Formats: sequence, structure tokens, C-alpha cells
Amino acid sequence: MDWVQVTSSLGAIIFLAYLASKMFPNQKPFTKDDILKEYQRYNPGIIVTNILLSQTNDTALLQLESKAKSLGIVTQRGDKLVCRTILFSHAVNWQFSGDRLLLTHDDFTQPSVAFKFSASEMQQAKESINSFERDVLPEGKVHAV
Amino acid sequence: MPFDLPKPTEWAVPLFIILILAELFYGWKKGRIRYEGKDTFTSMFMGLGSTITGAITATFIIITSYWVWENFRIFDFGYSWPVFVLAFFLDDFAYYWIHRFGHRMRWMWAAHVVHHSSQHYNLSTALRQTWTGQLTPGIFFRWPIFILGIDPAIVFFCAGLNLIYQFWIHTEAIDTCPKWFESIMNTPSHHRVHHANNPRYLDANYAGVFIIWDKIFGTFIPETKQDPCNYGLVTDLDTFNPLRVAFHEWVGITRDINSAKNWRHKFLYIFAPPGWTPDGSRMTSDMIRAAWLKRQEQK
Repeated sequence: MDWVQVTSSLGAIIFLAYLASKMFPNQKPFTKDDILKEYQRYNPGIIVTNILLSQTNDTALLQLESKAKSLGIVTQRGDKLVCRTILFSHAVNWQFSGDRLLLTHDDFTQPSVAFKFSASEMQQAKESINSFERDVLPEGKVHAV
Repeated sequence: MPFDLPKPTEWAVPLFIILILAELFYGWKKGRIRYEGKDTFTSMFMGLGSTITGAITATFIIITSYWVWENFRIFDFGYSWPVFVLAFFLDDFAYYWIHRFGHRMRWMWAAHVVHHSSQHYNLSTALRQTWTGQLTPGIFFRWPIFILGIDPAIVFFCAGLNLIYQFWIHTEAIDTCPKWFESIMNTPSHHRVHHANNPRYLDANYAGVFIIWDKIFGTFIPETKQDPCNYGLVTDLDTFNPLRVAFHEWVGITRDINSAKNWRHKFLYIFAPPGWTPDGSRMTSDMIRAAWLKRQEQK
């Protein structure tokens, strides 16, 4: 394997990826139904009580039946969805800033998730997170998987 | 290397590109197959990286393989064409076990998980290969073939052919092949099952070329239309960053070992199946399938 092979391979990779992005654009915004269906496919035993879909349509915070113990996170990655359930095993930080909410946690492939909510949805998100925090760890640090 | 043979995977690169182009246009026209630009880039970039890391470590692998062959071989099979056929068959058998352990031992999964980390299933997924396979004990599975007396160059040549065979089965463009072919060979249908994260299909169809190994060792599961394949991991990656894709499971193992309470737990974080934890807080594929079976019974 020499540099000619490496550079020509890299050129072919960029060309094919560009072609794929043009031929298969990610145009369809995800709906709450899509998110619910996908989350429950990965987590069949968990009941989702509410979905707070970010105004950017690429992230969602899921309120679950056992809200004190877990929250669902769904993010868009390309044309697919990625689901996580946050429990109480490792640290999660929530930062509120106007209509923005930023989650950072100890996940190597998902270090942070950003949400943008309307005022009413932000209120619901805060209630869920506060309930989650208060019930799990009184000192205010939320732990998650 | 005393016996100099071409590297089949390097020769096949132009063919890979042409077939991906063909599948792209077929999928675009028929709507049966989907590609995603960033996913395609990551998959193919992982393939390029895998070739480079393979080239970097090739000398060490070749030297150790010839050391085994020269010092411990029982017979000397020579270089006639039946030896190539025998080597291809034995290498495919070794591949089955490498692959099976690649799913059932977290150390080997840390390398192999890369290949399963796309939620897409198309020809570019075939190229999504590990950069760290040489850091696992996978090579030891081929040592019995060297000890038997087949020149490592022939074995590595056959391993290259095996990988080329596996390229075309990473597609949804082909539904099923003729029945006789499906019964003996690994096919797109069998391999879709292998890449699926549906509980029904987890840890099945490890074959490289011949599906007979799965049928012999009880790991064969046929594809069923009632349960269409969904692709990816049981916990999908939320990144297209090739570095994070390449090393995420190694990071996970390191974190788990550092937080383990005793040496037994450290050992099991390396050698137990992926998802194992002392308290059962994560799920192995066996646990996921058992829970699914229980739900099926309750329906």
C-alpha cells in the first residue's frame, strides 16, 4: 500500500460519499410517532408518557413512566435515530439557557445533546429533570447511563 | 515471505468502487436501498484505515506466523492447487470461530463492533472494518492451519479471497439466491440476519463463505419476512467521527476495568460477552433474546 493508493482511495471515498449525500438527501423531518416507534423498538418494556421534540427536530427528551429513575433521549444521526435511556449510574449535567437545554454526559459517542424548546415545553423539561434530580440524588447531580 | 502471492483485497478495490456505484444508482432508481452521505464516508474511511493499520502490523503477523509454521508444522503440504482449496476451506472454518468469538468475547468485540456500527446495510458497510483487529487474539485461530503444514502465505491469500467474497453479501438489493446456494453458501439474506439488531437475530450466522458452519454449530437463523431486519447495534453510536467509531468500545472496556471492584470483574469485563456487568445493569445479547422470548410467550 503506497501513497498513490491511499490518496486515490481517499478521493474515491469522498466522491462516493458526496454522491450518496446528493442522491439520498436527509429531507424528512422526524415526527413524534417515528421517535416513539424507534424508542420502543429498542426499549420494549418502557412506557413513554410524553415526548418533548426539539424545535430543531433532531433531538427529543422522552418522559417515561418511572420518571424518577429514567429519561429517554432520542437524537437524529443522519437519516436514522439513536436512542438512549438515562438512569442513575453516571454523571449527567443539564445546562439551561433561554430556550436551549444542553445535556452533557459520560458517553463516548454522545458526549452532549442540545435541545431547543418552546417556553411550555421547556417548563415540562425542567419539571422532568428536577423531579429526576430530586428523587434520585438530593444533592442535585443527576446520574445516568 | 518465502512464497509471494498478490494481496486480493488491494486488487479488488476498483471492483468495490464500481459495485458501490452500481448499488447507489440501483437504490436511487428502485428506492429499495438507502445510502447516507456521512455514513458512507465513515464506512469507507474505516476501510481505508483498516488497510493502513493492517499494512503497519503485517510484518509482525507474518514473522510470527512463519515462526509457527517453520518450527511446529506436522506436515508440509507444498503449493499445489488442491492445497489452496484445502486452505480456503480451513481458513473459512477458522474465520467462523474468529467471528464467533468476535461477538462473544468483549476483547475481540472491541475491534469487531466497528463493522456493525452502521445503521445502514449496503455495500459500503462491508468496508466498515476495524483498525484494531491486530490487538486481539484473532490470529491464534489460524495457527492450527500453520501447524498442520500449510504455508501462511497461502492462508493469508485465502483469507483475502474470503473477505472479497463477503463484500457482495452486504446488500439489500438481492433478496434470496437459489435454494441450493442458500443452503451451502453465505448469502445476502443470511448476512442481513447477522447484521440485524432484532432480538430474534442477535449473535447468529457468523459464516464467512460457507453457511454450513453455522448449521453444524447451531448458530444459524434464517431471515423471515415477518421480522424485517433492522441494522446496527443494540446501543447505536451517536457519531460519524471515525476515531470515536474505531475506539469507543476500547474506551468502554478501559472505563469498566478502572471502575471494577475486584480482579474477577476486571477479567470478565475483558473476556465475558459484550454487555456483561456484575450487577446485570446492562444486557448481553443472551439477556435481550431471553426477554424477547418471554414477551413472545406472553402474547
